[in-house]
Amino acid sequence: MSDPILHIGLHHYLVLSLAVFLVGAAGVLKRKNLLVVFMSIELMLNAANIAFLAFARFRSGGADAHVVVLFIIAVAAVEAAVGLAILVALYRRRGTVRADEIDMLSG
Amino acid sequence: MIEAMIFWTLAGLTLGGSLLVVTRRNPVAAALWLIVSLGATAGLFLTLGAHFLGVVQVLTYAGAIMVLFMFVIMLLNIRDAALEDIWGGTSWWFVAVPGAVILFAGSKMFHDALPADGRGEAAEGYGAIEAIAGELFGTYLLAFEAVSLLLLAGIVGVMLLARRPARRGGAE
Repeated sequence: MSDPILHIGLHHYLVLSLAVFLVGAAGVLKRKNLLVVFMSIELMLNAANIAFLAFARFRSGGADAHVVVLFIIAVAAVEAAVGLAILVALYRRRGTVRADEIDMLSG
Repeated sequence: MIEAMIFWTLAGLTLGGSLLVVTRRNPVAAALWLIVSLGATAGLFLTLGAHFLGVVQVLTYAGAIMVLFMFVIMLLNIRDAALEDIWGGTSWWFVAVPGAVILFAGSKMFHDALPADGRGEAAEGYGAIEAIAGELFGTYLLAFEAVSLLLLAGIVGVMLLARRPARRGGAE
């Protein structure tokens, strides 16, 4: 096994992707401010992108992974826009963006 | 050697930035650290030979999506009293311990399952826009058109959702 510090292999990128994904998931679970929850979702998508490109580079992939990552970025943009629009509408009605203060389904 | 240094720096920025995103009380600070994390990820894309996607990442993700986030954060104008107490409430250990377990188990699995060969020589034109465009407008043409439809739906949806309530008193 070659030196894991100096010799960067596929598993370095995958462990990084996993770690960032877990940090994003922790943010979604723990944070109450919905803006930060959205940012954590973007972190998770970002982690998936790293994993895609790492596999493509180390496994003689073609441009398929690049196209998929492009689609992920596009979908993330739309999802962020729509989610933030919902958040703005929610803020207008409830006056807060904290998940623990938005606890009644009506009103 | 240089390659390893670059990787560790960028990986540290990505992971450190992401940790700081989820632990900032102020959403503006969280957004700025997310920009750092996304920028470092773009650097990682470059180390992986995906230079077109690295540029797209900076332009779109760090440049457009995060600007949108900043707009909304400024629009909502969160007061200090509304900032949440992060370190109170349910403890972080409940997410940190399972997360650490998954991380260690995952790294062990990756280490065992994946052969240790390094990256091969990249194909000619790898990560260049010609290769991506060939696939995008060839094999993935339907998905491309679907994404454009998705963008249209997103635009219409955002305009409807974020509209000010009608002044005539009607609910929407």
